[in-house]
Amino acid sequence: MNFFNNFFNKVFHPNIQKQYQFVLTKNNSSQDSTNELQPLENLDQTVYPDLKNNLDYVKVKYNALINSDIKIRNFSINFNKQKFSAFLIFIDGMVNSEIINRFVLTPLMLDTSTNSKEIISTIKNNDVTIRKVRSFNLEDTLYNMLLPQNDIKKSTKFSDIITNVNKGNCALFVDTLNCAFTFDVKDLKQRSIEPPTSEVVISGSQESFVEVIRTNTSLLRRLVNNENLIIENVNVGVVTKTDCAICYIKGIANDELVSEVKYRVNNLDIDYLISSGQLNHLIEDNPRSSLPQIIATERPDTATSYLLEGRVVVIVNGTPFVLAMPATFIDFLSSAEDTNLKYQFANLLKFIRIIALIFTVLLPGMYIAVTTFHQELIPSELLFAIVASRNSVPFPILFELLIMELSFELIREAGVRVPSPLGATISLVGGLILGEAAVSAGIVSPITIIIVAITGISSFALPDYIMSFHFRISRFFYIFLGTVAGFLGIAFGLFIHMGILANLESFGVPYLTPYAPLSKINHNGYFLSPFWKREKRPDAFNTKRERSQANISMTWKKGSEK
Amino acid sequence: MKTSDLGSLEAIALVMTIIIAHIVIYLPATIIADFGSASILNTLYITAIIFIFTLIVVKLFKNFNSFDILDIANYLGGSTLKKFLSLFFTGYLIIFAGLFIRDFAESLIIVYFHDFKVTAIILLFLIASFIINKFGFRQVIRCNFLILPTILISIIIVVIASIPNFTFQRVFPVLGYGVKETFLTGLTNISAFSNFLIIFYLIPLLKNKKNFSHISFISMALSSLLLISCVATLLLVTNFDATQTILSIYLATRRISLGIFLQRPDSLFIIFWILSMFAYLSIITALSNYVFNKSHDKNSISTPSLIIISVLIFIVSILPQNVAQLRFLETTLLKYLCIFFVFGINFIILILGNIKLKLNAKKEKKVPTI
Repeated sequence: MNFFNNFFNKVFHPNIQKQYQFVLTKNNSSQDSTNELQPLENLDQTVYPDLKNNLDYVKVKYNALINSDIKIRNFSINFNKQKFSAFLIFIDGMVNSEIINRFVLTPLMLDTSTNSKEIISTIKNNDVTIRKVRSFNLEDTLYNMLLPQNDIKKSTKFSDIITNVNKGNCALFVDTLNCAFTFDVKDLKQRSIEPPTSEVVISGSQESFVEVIRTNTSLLRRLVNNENLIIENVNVGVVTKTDCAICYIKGIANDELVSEVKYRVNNLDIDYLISSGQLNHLIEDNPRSSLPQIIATERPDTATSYLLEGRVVVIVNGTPFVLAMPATFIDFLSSAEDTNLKYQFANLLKFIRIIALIFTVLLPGMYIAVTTFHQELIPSELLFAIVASRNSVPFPILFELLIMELSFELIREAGVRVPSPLGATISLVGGLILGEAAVSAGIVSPITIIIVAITGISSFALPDYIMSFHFRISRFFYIFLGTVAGFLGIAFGLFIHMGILANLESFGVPYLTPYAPLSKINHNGYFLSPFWKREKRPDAFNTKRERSQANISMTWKKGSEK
Repeated sequence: MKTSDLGSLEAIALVMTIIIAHIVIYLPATIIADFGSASILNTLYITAIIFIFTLIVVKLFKNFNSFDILDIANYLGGSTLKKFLSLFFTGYLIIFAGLFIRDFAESLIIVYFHDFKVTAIILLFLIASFIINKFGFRQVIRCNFLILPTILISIIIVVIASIPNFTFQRVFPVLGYGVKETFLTGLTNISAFSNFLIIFYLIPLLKNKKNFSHISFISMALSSLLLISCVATLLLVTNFDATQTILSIYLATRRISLGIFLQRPDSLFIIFWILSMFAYLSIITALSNYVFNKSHDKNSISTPSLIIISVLIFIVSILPQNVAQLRFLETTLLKYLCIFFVFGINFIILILGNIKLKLNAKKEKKVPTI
């Protein structure tokens, strides 16, 4: 019988093998029983005086046997003909080896001492000179004489030492010392400062933030150029301890606003923080709303102007986008280019953006409402043309519009995901060939293509990506409402939408300020006044320093009058 | 939710929204139907009266610092009078809102939505009002403040675009159906300013209480300006007979032309009239809720009372069996109810409150203020 079974299997299932199956089982460790996050290391552990214990501790903590990039260098310190055992620990790839060799290992390993002891006082008595010499202290000697580093810290807690090593610093442990030295030998590879990609301007600065927090803070410092710029560091995330910098200008930003930002950033019980986008979701007032409540910018000049307006900026290490708060609705309809242009041109662009906003949100819904309920609105000739163009289309207008809207979203998403040389091809194929083919096949009418195209182009005219996303989603609700109840449905949607906008607040500032509630616009409304008229900071931010310019900022004009 | 942070412009917008909704639905048409060619004269006449009335009310409120009519009722007759007045006020607003929303829904069905059920349209309005009120009183005010300018602009466009269709002979005879009709019977037309009711409850809501008199006068001036221009537009454009059927302002928009592209702009304007009704209903709901809760010494808007008020508005709105009944209730019941309540009870309480204050001050030999 077995023979037949084997024969049968060999003939019909020649490659039958034991199938490999992996099942991820649930970890039943005791830590899982509690929902609270446990710290990964014993934070209170201090450095042992015995070097071997320290070595064992860091080896265990860093899993040095399996972690390939953790480097531990054992050596002896030679000083005054004495030898002290020591070791260095650092992460390969994050440090500058040249600095470690020349400015850490060389001074420590080569005995360059002149056997001179530090003289505290000298007393001369009857031709006998008595010199009081400071007793030898290894810790002080290392700190003061043997480590020629500008940024060196003495730490007694392992948690501090490990955090510093994780950031790319190097730690030195010496036998008999119950402390360790960490020094800045970072050499993190980073991209250079490049022109912005999502906030492109013609006449403004061509610098953008990068992923490294210190480079970003330096970009801000360079532009603000004032000692009142405060950059406070905060670590977020139990595991990642991501560096975040809370920046504000002392004397301008409202103290309560600064405290609130610090409070929210400091009170995040999370394992990791990778990007500013994640932080944005964690600290905004209403995280369930699809409307952005914090501005994300990659431009140092824009971030600087936010700081000077009295807002608070938060930088997250690893993200080239910084967050500015509080934010209002009109901020998301403003571009970095606006302030560089003459106010007349900027206002024209702002007006166009409002039209774009209306088209993005309402055009498809209005089209359905007009063609379904309010045909009398459009001229008879145009109505006949629309009816004629839809004669060959077998689908209801809602279905037709949804097909095209979804196709457009598909093309947009594909265009973003494909490698950039293919982006143009996708647009060409999607926009022209697909549209043309859809009309020829009688799936959609030409007027629908026009409506969808105008809506799509309008959505690109909105400066903020997240805001544009919100309106793209809202558009589908308006299509539904327009189909169900025409202008009544659209008015219903508009009213609720306005209510949602009116309900939002960003760090205590109403979202629709300065219009609802009405506050002093001070030439800081949506439309721009000439730069010399923008004398005051936005009223809603309650800044400490209300004026940003003198009453007559162009004092040279006063001079010419004299 | 704190409610006491209404700016001056927001307060004016609050008062204006009520009269705008009335203008959109029935007010100019009713005035023209009652007074014919003397409608403009009658509107000017009641405008003058309302200004005198505003002057008196503002003067009478002066002694009561930040009291509204409910607080004065409490001072005058204790919590019983206060509760009675608040119940009366809430009931009045519910009847007002219910009948108006029904009227508007009926008009919408006649004009555009022939296949819709009136209850469906009313429910849509009530749902929107409920959602906005759920956000809070401030949000209702902000939302209204955003909508009002667009509605005002559209009314101004309607008035300006109607000028070419004006037939000035329609104002003759100037005295219409006679002096007695225009000035004596016409006095009842003061109910057109039913939005004055809000003035009685405004002071505690204001951020700056000192602006109360300015707010009262400006809101009444703007309301009368709007009413006069709408009455004049409708009078000079339409026949008297055509005015009783559907939305007043819609009749004016039917006759305007805005180029070839918009063949019938009236259907575009309907969005703004619908928005004005949404704003109106949400404000009425918010105010009645506020007053109802205040009588129970609560300064916040509660959800159960919001639900009850919305349900009551719905019930009132479906009570009239036909449009004729609805018209009758609007033009007679509401008119006299408004005169009785807004210009009667409230005014009397205010006067009596002042008298009591003066008597108490005389006893204590003090300046009569609270």
